[in-house]
Amino acid sequence: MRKFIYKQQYVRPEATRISDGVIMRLDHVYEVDPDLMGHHFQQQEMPTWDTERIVASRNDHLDWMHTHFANETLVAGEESELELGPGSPTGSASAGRGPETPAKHPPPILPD
Amino acid sequence: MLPTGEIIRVGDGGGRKIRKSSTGYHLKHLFMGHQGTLGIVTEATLELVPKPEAEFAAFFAFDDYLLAHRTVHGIVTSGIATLAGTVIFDEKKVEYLRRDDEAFIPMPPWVNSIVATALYGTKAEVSAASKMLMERGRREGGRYTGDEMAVGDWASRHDRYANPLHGRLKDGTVAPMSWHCEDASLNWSVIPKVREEWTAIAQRYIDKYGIFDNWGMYCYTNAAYKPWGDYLAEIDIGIWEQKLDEENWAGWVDFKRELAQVSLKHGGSISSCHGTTRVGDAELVPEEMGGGWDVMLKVKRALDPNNIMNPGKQMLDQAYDD
Repeated sequence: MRKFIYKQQYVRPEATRISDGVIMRLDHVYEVDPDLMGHHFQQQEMPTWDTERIVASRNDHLDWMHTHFANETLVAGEESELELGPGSPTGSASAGRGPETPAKHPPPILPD
Repeated sequence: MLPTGEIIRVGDGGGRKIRKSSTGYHLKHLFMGHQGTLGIVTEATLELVPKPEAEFAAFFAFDDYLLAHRTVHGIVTSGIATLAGTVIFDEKKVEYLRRDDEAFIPMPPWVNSIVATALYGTKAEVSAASKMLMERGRREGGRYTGDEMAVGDWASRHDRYANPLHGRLKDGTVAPMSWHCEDASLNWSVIPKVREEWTAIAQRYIDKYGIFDNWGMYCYTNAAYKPWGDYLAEIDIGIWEQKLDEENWAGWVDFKRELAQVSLKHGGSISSCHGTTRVGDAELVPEEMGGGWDVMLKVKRALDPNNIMNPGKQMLDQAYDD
């Protein structure tokens, strides 16, 4: 069981910069840089438990999306290839077409 | 219910649950998209289908939009019967998603286009077709973005890509903005050219008015697994609505109209699914319909002789000019 101490919930963890406009305080929870957010939006203090609740709720919704549209979700079972950099066309224009062993069709019957 | 009070049932032929008929005119289509100008629907018969056994999604990243564009065509024409949809994200869409979509934020800078695609069907069919889909996705150089994104982002497809409710101003700061999706129906071959022209138009209005934001463009198949199927193309525009005074509103209407004119110039339709009801595109309906516009006016007047059904919609008041 996790222990919630009210004061601790309002101490936001140190931010790590992820990109020019994004920071991260909690693992896998990205936030738009507060310096960009504060000009036209009133900001509020948010306890950590509330952030975690919103993330959990979002994940619940994504799970629901899968089970709503299909009984089972299949994946390729492969890692991201983004670190490899951009790919090039393979030129395998005919790859993947048709069965591996084509059926032998009888010769056409031509008119006399 | 017709404007005269008569109640009719429209389907294919006279059948209530028939999907294909060659009897009479296809009146069902007349009452789809009429936007309340020909009658009121009081009852509908829906077809229920069982949930598919399995889904499979995959995302592929490209550094060149034209390679992504060719990949989409390769997938759509692959003959995979369980193909449910194929979507292409342009550079502006990727740029926009890098701001606050957890799958896109850490993407390397070379990624400027994405192809997302999904299969639905029996497990046996989907499993077999997934291998072919992976090959097709990579054929033009696409890089698979991994299982985690395939699962998470496909589940987000109905909301995350367009609905952040905030956008960016020219100085990069965040402002409250609402989502305005301008759609069109386009053939595959004209998509790159339309994208180029839409993006240039958007930038011009962003620079001039300072209340718009380009949230990018994507296109997805209108008719999956049909090589002749055209595409729903949309450009998502963020608007800071609190700043919509008379001048800015007029600017937005001109903006919409310019986007619609590009669609017509390239042989497309102004709208694939949203309809053409609002100022900025409604006045272009006669141009798109050509000779069919006169037929529409005659139908409108015949069914609604007193113009009591949504008068003013779609320029149809022209039916009563005399």
